[in-house]
Amino acid sequence: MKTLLKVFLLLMFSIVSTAGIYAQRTVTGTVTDQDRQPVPGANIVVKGTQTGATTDANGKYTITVPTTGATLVVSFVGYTTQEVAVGNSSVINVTLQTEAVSLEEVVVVGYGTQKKSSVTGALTSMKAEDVKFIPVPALSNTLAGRLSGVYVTQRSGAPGFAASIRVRAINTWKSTGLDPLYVIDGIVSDKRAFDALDVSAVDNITVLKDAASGAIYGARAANGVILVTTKTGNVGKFQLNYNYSYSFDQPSKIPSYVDAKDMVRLMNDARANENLPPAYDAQEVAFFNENDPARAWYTLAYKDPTLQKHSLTASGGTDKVKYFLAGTFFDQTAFIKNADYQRYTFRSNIDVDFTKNLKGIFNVAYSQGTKTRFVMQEDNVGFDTNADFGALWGRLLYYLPTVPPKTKDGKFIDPGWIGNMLAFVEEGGMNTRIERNVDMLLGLTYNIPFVDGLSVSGKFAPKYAGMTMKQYELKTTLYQVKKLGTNSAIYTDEITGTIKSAYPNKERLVRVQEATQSYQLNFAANYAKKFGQHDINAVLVYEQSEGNYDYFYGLREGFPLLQKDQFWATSAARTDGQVSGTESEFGRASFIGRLAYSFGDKYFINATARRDGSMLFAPDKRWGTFPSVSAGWMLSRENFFKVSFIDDLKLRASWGLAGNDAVGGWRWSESFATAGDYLLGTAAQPRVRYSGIINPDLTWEKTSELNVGIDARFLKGIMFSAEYYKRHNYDILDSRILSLPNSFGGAMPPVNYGIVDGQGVELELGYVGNKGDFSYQIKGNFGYSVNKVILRDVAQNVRALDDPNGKSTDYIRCLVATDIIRTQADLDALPAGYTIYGLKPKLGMINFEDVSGVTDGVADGKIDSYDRQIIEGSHALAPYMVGLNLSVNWKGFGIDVFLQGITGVSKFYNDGYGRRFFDGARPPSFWLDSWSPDNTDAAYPRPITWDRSMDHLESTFWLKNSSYLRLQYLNFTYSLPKSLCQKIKIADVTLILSGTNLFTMTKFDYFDPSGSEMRSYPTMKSFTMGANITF
Amino acid sequence: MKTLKRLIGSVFILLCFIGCDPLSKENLGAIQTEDVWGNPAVAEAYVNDIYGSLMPADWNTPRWDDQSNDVNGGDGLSAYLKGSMTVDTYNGYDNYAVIRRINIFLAGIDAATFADANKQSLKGQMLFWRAWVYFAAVKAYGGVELVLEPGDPANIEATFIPRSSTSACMTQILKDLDAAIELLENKSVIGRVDKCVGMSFKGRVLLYWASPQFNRTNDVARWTAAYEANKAALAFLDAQGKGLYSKYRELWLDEMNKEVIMVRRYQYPSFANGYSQACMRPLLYARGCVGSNYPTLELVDAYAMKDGSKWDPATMDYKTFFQNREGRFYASIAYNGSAPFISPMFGNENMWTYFYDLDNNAATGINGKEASAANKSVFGTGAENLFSHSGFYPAKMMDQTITRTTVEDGQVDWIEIRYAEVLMNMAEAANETGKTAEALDVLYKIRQRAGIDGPTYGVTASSAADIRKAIQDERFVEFAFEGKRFWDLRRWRIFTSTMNALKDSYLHGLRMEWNGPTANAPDRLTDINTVLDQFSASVINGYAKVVVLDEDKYSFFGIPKAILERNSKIEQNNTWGGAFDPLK
Repeated sequence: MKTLLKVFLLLMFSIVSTAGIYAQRTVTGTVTDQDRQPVPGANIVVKGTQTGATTDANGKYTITVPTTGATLVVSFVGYTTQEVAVGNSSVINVTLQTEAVSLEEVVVVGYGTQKKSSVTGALTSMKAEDVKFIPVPALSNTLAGRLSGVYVTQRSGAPGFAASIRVRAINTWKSTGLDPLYVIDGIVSDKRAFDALDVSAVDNITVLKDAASGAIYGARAANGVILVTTKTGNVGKFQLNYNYSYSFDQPSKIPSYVDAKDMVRLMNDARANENLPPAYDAQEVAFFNENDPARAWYTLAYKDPTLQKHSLTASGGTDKVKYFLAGTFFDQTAFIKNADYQRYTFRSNIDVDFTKNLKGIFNVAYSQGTKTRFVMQEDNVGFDTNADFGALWGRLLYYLPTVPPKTKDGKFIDPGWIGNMLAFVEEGGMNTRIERNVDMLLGLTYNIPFVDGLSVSGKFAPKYAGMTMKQYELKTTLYQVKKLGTNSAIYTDEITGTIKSAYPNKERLVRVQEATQSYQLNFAANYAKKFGQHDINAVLVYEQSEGNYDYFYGLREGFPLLQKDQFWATSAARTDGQVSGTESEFGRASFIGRLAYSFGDKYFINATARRDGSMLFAPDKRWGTFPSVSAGWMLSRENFFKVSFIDDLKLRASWGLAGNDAVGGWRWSESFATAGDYLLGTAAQPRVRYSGIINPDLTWEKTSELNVGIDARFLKGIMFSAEYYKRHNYDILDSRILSLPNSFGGAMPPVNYGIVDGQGVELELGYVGNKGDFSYQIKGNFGYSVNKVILRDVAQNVRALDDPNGKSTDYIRCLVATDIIRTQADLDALPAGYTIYGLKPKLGMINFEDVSGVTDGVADGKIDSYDRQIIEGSHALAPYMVGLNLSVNWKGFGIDVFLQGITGVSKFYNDGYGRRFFDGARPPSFWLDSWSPDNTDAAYPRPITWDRSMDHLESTFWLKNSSYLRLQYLNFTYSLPKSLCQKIKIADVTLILSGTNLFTMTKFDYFDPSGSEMRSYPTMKSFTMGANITF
Repeated sequence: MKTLKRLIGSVFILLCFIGCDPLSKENLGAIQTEDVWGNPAVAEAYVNDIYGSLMPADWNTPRWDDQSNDVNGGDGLSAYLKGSMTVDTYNGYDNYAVIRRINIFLAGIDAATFADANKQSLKGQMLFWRAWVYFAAVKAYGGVELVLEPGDPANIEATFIPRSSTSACMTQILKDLDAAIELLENKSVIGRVDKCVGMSFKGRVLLYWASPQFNRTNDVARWTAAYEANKAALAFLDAQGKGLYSKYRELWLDEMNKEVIMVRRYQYPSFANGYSQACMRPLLYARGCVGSNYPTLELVDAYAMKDGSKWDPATMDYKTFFQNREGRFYASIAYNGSAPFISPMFGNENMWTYFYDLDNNAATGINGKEASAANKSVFGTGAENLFSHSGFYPAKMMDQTITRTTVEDGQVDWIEIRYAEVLMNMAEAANETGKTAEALDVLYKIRQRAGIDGPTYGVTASSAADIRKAIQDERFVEFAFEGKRFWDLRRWRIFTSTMNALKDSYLHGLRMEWNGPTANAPDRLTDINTVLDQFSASVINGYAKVVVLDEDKYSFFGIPKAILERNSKIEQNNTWGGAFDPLK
């Protein structure tokens, strides 16, 4: 660090440049929009200089320009930038046009920017402006459906939970290493830092989809690259923006469960059919016909969830210094008590022009996200990743179907060994998890004065990512009450005793500290020059990064003094405490180059190469090269192109090679590791275990990809782009365990051998238009992606069904349900000795297709796992996605509608308790339409006591189409008239009323189709009110 | 030019910064290979790890036989008793990972750089464990693939090998055991494998090898070998101060006593891994888990009377079944009215598992409820289910100190081999080789320690066949819940006949019912004998009938489908439709 500081000081002080002195004069004018309304805050810069000005509240400006040859560049967010030659005029009025989707737009690419017209790879981008009012806890969640080929899965709506992002077809059968690479302001970062960004500080997000665009990020780019650019200040007046919103949330879908009276009836019937004594006697049946005390588990734990956001940004600048400052606060509560997420972020982005040729950038960002949640046993492991609250909320619906959680005067009832779930929520202690991120970026760019077009730059980005967790687990006091009924199912309010809750087994305080410190360092040389029709842009970069990870865990049990979440309050006995920890280091180095050449803005060629070195691999396997080439042809600029309604037409093709090194470290180096201890005599003795066979040849996984695309603009406002890609993923790293005999006794180390091919199509269509006071915009996108396993290890004698080769990674296999056995005739038609997983078939059971037995392909009158079949054409992941955005503005009023959907996907109703009829829990409502002798046409099988039927097995009976189309976002805005704003000396006031996730169309009606299972925390339906004020 | 110089200077400094190689890192989480072979403490830790993987810790006896059963709803029977056993039911093939770890050690230990003296015992322990793990497989399946070197990942083809014959495996097991016995210390710290363990285990192995499961022609030479091995083991154990512990009940409470030979130790909290007894206790005193080790009435019946005579259900009254039984009965079985045996009960209440008129209304006929007893406990409110349908709980080996919330932290040791087993192994082999007196002498010793009276402690057998039966019956009660019964029944090839002999082929329990006024129902520390006249007893049975397959299906299990799929050279046992003869 010290060395580095010296470098910067040296660079800063050793480079001297003199600004030229020119003759000058003054120009004034007014900037207005299409509606002749003045535009305050617009930027006016004299082209080629740092001289700038900003319009005042009346849209007026004054600027000093050189006497001859000056050109003004006038720009404002949302409008097309205009250049006006000054000539001899001293008054220049400018009318800005609302920005159309423009090919002249500059887009972010790896290690630089390009004009959109010269882009030759597949990339898609969005403005953060489009999603700034959406109330969600993480940036990832705003991306859903916005970008073609970018698949966003919101698995949970839990406070602070970020959606997962996948770019294009899944590259592997493995469930890890699927994340795209995140790059923030040119610094390789991670998803956590991405989600810690507040949308108010983000300018735009660009996704590099094809391997050719990604190859410049080399060994980590195979899953796509997400580039984020944060905002910078503009030359001009100080601008302050405050945005506030408050949302009322509610769970989008709660699974439905029967009332107590149906529950007792169904259970007694189910048991009677099996000749079992009833679960409830007459007194109990009578009681539950009138009462349903266990509904209180959910209602008492429920709390209306809310979400609020504040963000305050300030920006501005002079011709020498530009700044952007932001501070935000976010607070989201769960729909179960005592669960909350709060986040603060601060950011300061400063750009300085030290001299004409030397520029500096100083960005500092801090974020702190705090998740707090009640503690419960099942939720302790993976508190961060288990966003389902240990499935607790789902259990509140069915777990203890007859027991009230509390007596009338609010005392927790002891329901026996299961424990009182509400007591966990209300008094069982707290788990607090705080994530802190500090990201800094210091950069210098020097335009070398004696070589025109050549600049060099250096960037240093230190990063700290910390996590602390405090888990404070307490016992609760439970009250035993007098119970009535043979089965003691009726709980009275008469207290007979108390007991301490059995969980946690010991009261405890746990602290976990986790920290990753790292830095990235870049040195780059950039050369951009135009020679007539030839346009050359070359970049050379050296990059390195290093870091270390540190984890510490401490636990102390028992609170002899006071119950307080501090270590001093815990037992000091050594046997009541425990600590552990680990550390690790990592490092990378890379050489990067790009050459872009274009001729006459008509022909474009791009070539990139990156040489990556990673310590994840053995010294002689460390370095790899990732090349790409791509080309574009602006057909519409050819003279022979004479299609009048097409304004622009470009064809593109690209090929690239990218890698994926998310494969874990050190498997190339032989080692042993400690493995707990073992008691010999009276002392615990350490254990050491061989860490497994090594693979010194280990290397990254590779993706080569061919992409062809077309970009078109026609009829003055319609923008269209289409992509087709074909991916070849090879060297997929996995253990070839299945091809080894069991007696080998070990997993072979992972080797690079697997192959998965993928392909897909992406379309984007947009239209921007206006008519009179109306302006409107339609944007739609569509994505299709599939993959196929070409080579994956299988056991020697595996059946075709279980052989993944030739199938997509998400193919579905299960039993095929024929129907419910509805009539005696159905039952009699079954062969003699017919069994379903060893059980004799009975009326009302689900029957399955018998297609195979121990001998493959020969029906044997036994339904068992041999009878599973491939469900052709079914996918566990959606191959199709669509997004559709409509917005209309009329005088200050705006409507923004956003629809998002997926299709082609199937999902099991995978609730193990609900699928089999469990005579100990409240059954899901669909059991109301279950088979009985009086209802033989029922949709569902007969309720048969636990374990006495196999109806619950994964079969096509429970496999449902889970496609959906969702009204993701509906937003009304109203901006006060500019004239009124001027009176109150405020630049802009916009009021917002919006709804998120309002409506979902789906055939999948068991639970939220985007959730992974019935007890997954559902996504939220939000109603938001807000205001955005710019001073 | 000055500027240029400075620029060059600063670039130079930057290069220095780059000079520190970001790719040169250390694996901070690992122990290096040379540490294992150069440091005896690390090598010993490597050996310790095998203990963690292989030392039995079977606290929950699987419901495989007639000693315990779960009759808590459902049909509660294992596939072995339901007749639904398939090749996949028993999977004992997962130990090759440990075998590989042992083989890595045995391949490297001779070249280790530390002193030979440190190597002897470690090598002996590893040879012992290899014999142990192969014996476990052979007793389940017959011969298995014999892997004695860590397979070479560079030559995968060579690792596809067929099963070795059963006799070849036994030869290798005995070879490893003999080598281990040579190398092991006479007597190590308790818990570690020493010569006492090695010799005792060799006796067990040879006893199995002589038993009908493997010895269909009743080759007496095998019985002789078993006799001699056990005899030698006993002599060595005696010399090391081992012997029968005088008190049967305290065998599991007075830890590390002289009867303990091979043991997995538990100690809490100074040792992190307590074992969980959650599933074995009445639910009232347990947490979240039920259904293990509930004694069947078949087991309860098997305990002798104090005078050595048999309990005879045909002539005796179940109301008084608990009176005048032998000592092991009281040490092993918790029954309605039995004395407190786990921590929350001491000074508070006896074990109550009876049923009574729950709604206090004779007209409704509701008395108690199925699958539970309405326990008038001082800890509960009288309605938490206990969940032993058999009416009994295990009292043997129960940790007396843990409470409801610490049921997972039990610290009673699991004794895998104790002196009594070696004695009984010897007796069985003695009986088969005509040494009747020696066999009877062992039965006397065992029954005397059990607190049975009389000159022959109730043993009336005199013929070899009767003594064989007496030994079989003795092992049932002496080793109840010690994980031996199922394997014994297979070994003797009487699994099917024993299970079919059950009345109506059910496993049974006992239902005690209180017939007096509900208000007077006994609770707390009431002496059961004082209120016995108001109880009635009835035999109840499990929900599902026991269905057993041919004895041959039990003698050798089928090789699981997944194992066959992975290696075409492996043949299925001939009793399961394959070509492999496990008797060769």
